[in-house]
Amino acid sequence: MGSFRYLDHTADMGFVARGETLNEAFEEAAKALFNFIIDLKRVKPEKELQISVEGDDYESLLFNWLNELLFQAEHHRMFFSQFKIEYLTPRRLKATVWGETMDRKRHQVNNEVKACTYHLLRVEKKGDNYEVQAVCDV
Amino acid sequence: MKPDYLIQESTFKFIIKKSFRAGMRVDGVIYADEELVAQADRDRALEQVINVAFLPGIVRASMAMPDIHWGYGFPIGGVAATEIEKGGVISPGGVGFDISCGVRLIKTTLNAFEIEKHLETLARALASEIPKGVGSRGKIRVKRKEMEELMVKGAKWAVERGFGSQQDLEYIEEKGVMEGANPDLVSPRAFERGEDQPGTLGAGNHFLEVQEVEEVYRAEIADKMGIFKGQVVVMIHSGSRGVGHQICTDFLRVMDMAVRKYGYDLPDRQLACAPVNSPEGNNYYQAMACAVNYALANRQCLGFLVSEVLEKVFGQGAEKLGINLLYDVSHNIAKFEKHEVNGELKQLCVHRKGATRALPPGHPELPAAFKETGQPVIIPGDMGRASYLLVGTKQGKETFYSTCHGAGRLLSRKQAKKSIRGEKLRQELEEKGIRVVAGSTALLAEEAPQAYKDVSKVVEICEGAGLSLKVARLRPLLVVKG
Repeated sequence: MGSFRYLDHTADMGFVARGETLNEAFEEAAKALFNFIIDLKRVKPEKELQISVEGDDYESLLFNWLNELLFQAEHHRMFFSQFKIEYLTPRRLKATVWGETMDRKRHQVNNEVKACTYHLLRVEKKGDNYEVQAVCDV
Repeated sequence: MKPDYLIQESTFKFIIKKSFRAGMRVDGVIYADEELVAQADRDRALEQVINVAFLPGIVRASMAMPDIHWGYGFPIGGVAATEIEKGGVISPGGVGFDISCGVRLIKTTLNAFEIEKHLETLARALASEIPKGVGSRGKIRVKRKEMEELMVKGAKWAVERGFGSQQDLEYIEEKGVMEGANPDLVSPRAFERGEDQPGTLGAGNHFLEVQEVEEVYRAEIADKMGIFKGQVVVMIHSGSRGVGHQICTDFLRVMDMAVRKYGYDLPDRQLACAPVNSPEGNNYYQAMACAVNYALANRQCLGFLVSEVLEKVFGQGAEKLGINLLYDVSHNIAKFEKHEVNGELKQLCVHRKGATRALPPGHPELPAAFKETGQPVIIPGDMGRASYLLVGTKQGKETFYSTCHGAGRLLSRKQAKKSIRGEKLRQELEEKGIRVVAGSTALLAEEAPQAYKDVSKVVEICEGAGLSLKVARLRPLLVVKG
């Protein structure tokens, strides 16, 4: 089972996400990001989107994955709540994500996230699990 | 307790010697008192001052203003200048994602007692007329061709479109237009994100406040600026919105590769940078200038929308209400400026990440109205206590004429939400006569006064250190948050 927790960053938002596989850790990272913006339980996974990003290593891939999600959310005016990584190498990630069109009446937005940063960014294997960490500008 | 590697040079100035860590090219200098410096040590801000001292071409020192706190890459409150001719770098992390986030202060000739009975109407009108919050779209739509013009002309574009007057431009940093912008270097994504965002406030710590001038500290300067006790003013805090976020994200990738190309060894990946005089550095600067112009245009549009609301609510024209821009200045920016370094005038790239330019009296770049007073510096505080109007000083030379930019956060958002209830806070503020319009109660808790350092203390330290002087204290009457 994957999980995530938030770090106590003074001005911005950071999180550590864990998974039994690297795929799961990346999925949890995306959940941590969107859960900070809005209560995930309120976002119906009714619309589906394919995401594909490239990187030079797992860290830059994580950076590009999270920033791609932020861009696509703004572009499609959606919130995302479910994430499935289909393919993951240090250079390429493909995923299917699900979410719902923004509805100002139903969606209580808690925060805006401007972008994911390179600060304290890491992707690591810890024992049997994988752990990823990121700090986002709020 | 201050950490022992910090040397206290004077009451409000602390030094971290460059010998402290291999790789530092200059000293770290923190303008603060013992308490604030200890706070900066508890989060990771001092570490970040040290990291910035690694930047190639950095001159004088890696500096931090008294509102210093943990950021990403640079500390918030960080100031760093690099010498362009000597391979000095430019770093998107030293500007941030919200490129040219800044503040503008609009004057009126209204007295606070005159607006008391209109506050409720004003609150409703501002809430409905000023687009705010996540995913908000403005009424001003700009397509590709016109957007290119906006990115080159900044606030001047807005004025030409009828949003405000020609005179406003005189009172904006760079006269409303940042030179060197090249829209060809801006990605289609950034263009798209900017399409419907001119004249939108955004979310998070961005805000609009109707304030009362509660106290005047320097009557002569205030008078020359057209500021008087009891006066109603409006403060707007916003930036370049999605355009800036996207340009920063795009160029961080470019700079990440440049770090390897130029063989830099940096302690934080977010400090990714390239020489100003390199294709990567040059391209970033030209794209960043587009975002600066977007922010200047955005605040000009917001100012116009606010003026329209005031006119409607009071049933009088802008002239009758004495609506005039006092000043508009950025606090997240990199600029080419000439400063004296070791007795020689040098062309520098000055990064201000959560720091405000504060030009002294007599500076050639000042508009005529501020030649004698120095540049107005607008410092947003928190929604329950105060904001400030300051002015630049000659002694500011040592920080490349920079001072603080706000209160600086004290509690993380997580801590704030845990300890503060949004609804209770709203009541408390209302008891103090402060009306609040906010997107959510969670946001209210995160942005609570208790989550911030005391801005009064921060500006006192700036004054004690000689970086800026207090002109007036502003009390919030009406707060509009994303």
